[in-house]
Amino acid sequence: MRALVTGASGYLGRHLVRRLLDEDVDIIAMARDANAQPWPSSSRLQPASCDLGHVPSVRRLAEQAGPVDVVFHMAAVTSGSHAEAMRGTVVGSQNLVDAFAATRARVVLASSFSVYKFSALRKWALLDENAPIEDCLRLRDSYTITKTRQEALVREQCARQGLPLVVIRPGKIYGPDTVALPPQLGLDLKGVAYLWMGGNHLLPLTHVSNCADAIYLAGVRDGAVGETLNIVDDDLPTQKAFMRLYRECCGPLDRAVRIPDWTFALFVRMMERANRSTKGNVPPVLTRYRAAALWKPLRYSNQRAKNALGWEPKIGWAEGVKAMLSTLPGASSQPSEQGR
Amino acid sequence: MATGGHVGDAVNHKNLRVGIVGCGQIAEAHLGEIRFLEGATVAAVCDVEPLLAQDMADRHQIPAWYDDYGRMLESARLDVVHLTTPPQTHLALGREAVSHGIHVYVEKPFCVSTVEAVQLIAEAQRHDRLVCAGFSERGDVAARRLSACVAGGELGEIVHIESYYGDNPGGNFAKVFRATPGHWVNRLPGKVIQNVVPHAVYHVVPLMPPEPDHIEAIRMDRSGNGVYDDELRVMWQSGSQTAYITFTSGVRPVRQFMRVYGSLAIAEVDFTNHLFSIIDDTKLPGPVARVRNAIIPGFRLVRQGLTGIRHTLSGRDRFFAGMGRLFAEFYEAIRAGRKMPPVPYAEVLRVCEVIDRIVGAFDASSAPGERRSA
Repeated sequence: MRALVTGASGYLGRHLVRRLLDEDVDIIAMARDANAQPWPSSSRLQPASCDLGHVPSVRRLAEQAGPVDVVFHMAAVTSGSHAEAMRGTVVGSQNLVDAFAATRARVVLASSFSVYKFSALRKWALLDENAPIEDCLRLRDSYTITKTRQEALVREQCARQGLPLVVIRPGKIYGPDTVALPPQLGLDLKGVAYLWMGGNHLLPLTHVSNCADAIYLAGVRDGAVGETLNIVDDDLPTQKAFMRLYRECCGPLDRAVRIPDWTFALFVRMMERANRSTKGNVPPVLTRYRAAALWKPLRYSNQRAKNALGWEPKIGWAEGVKAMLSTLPGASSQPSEQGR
Repeated sequence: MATGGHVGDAVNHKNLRVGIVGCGQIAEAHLGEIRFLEGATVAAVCDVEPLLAQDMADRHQIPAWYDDYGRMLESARLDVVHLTTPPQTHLALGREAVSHGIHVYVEKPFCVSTVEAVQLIAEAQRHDRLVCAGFSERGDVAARRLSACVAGGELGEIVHIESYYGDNPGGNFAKVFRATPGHWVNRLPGKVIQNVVPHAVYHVVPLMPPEPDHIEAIRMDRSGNGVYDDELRVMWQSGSQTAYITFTSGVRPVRQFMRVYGSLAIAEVDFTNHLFSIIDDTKLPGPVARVRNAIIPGFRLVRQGLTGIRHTLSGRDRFFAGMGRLFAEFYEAIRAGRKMPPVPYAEVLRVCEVIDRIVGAFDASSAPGERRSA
């Protein structure tokens, strides 16, 4: 099998590349500056530099790659201005599918949980693939806007060009060397405090290796084509359980303040009001809409992914989180008894 | 500089229909400021990339979007277009707009060269339309206080000016063009210097006498990024008045300020924090003067700080408030049918000439660090 991996230097992309090499897949590993990346040493890996937002660059990539069986489309611009994110993520996806349409390759798109319309879900509702997609994007952040537009565009393009498509929507991807605290846990007021919301909400985590497994299977399993699959691990932790493990591994979290849901709702309303009254001097980082997307208590299902892919998450959350926390500077190697 | 006078067809209707061309980062700032203005509505946005135009229209609830500029000019019934596209396109897009009877606001850099700027202004005048240079910081509260101070004679005769522009090479926009050799910023003759130094120059130009300039410049690739020269020093003399212009990418914190040294007092404008201060003289005896000179500026700064807090909380002062004020004045000039936009053409052309001379001082054969007369 020969596969193109876009965004191969990204966090998920790097793990997917390693997974594909384990399966003896020939890989064209695309990154913006592929020559500057520390790729695994393998004759099966061919680095390719490309700016997806630039049509001639994507055409050169298609020529260099030649025929491929699967396009694993992991690339997304997650920093910088909204316009750059649109160019890199949405326009880039359009250019990519156009350039590879002739290969008839299967497209596996890494989308995101953020595309769901969380405000339409009741508390503790089941978030599965049937949940509604966000249709009021102007109230959401740039990442959600670009990922939602990217998914819609890739669906439409693949349908028009007759390309087989699998859409993967991972929850919060974590693993070694990532940010330790998932955003669904609370709000980091940098240098001031860490507001820890709720306590019993489930964290929709997926370990990067589990997620890379699912994406690989989406590229090879016959039953996957046409599917949209949520990827979260089994037995998800609650916020309390996550914090307990954090304290065991790293000690108490600096300046952490636990605040109940209703207090947080009040805080969010105040922030919205401040944004309006200051005409944007207080940025709209926290709105009720955005808060719902991150902190509404929900239940999650990975049953469809298991059925379609025969996938089982191999790394449990406690093992994965301990391994992640052990990579943090200052983390203790032996879990302490504190907080048990 | 004259700003009065009327052309034939003043726009009598209250509400101006505005179109934005180029749906990039700065276009968001334009949209943000226009929504605070009464009597102006963004009626359409346009970008060669339809996905960007559609996205912007959707997020800002703008009724129409286009990927064909000509079609927008024909069908959107616009009074004004804002060009937020790369400067390499300003002449062509501006010409087309004025030929359709539409006024134009042009983001800086106004054009790639003075030759182009002359052509664009001439074309606008031929069609009785206005073209306003986006010298947006001219509208900042602190810049306005400086203008009032100079006009009121508080500084006396101006002897020297320092204009300092600190750039952040780690900013969102800079990251993009540093990583993209073909980016429009890197295709400008003066690269990043030509893109941002107009800010430092357009504050100085109205304060310099209209006499032949002598300009010397030094540039350096201090960071060794190999992409562009990230340090520039300019010495500028007009008659008996001098100015220094500093552009730096290496100094922290990133700041932008200006000092005007007069025969009676020194004024300082902090464009980053929207502050204005004045250092004046006293006839009090030495020790008393030192106490007075510590207390009075302190009080003035505290007062400005409190005003700043009030204006920030009320939204009266914003990051791009100066841009909004310039829009308001430009729209007012259109409604009143004036012949001259709020930034007079002579000043626009002099800014372009100074930039041309700074950039032209360094041809491909000159070595970085070399001092050149322009």
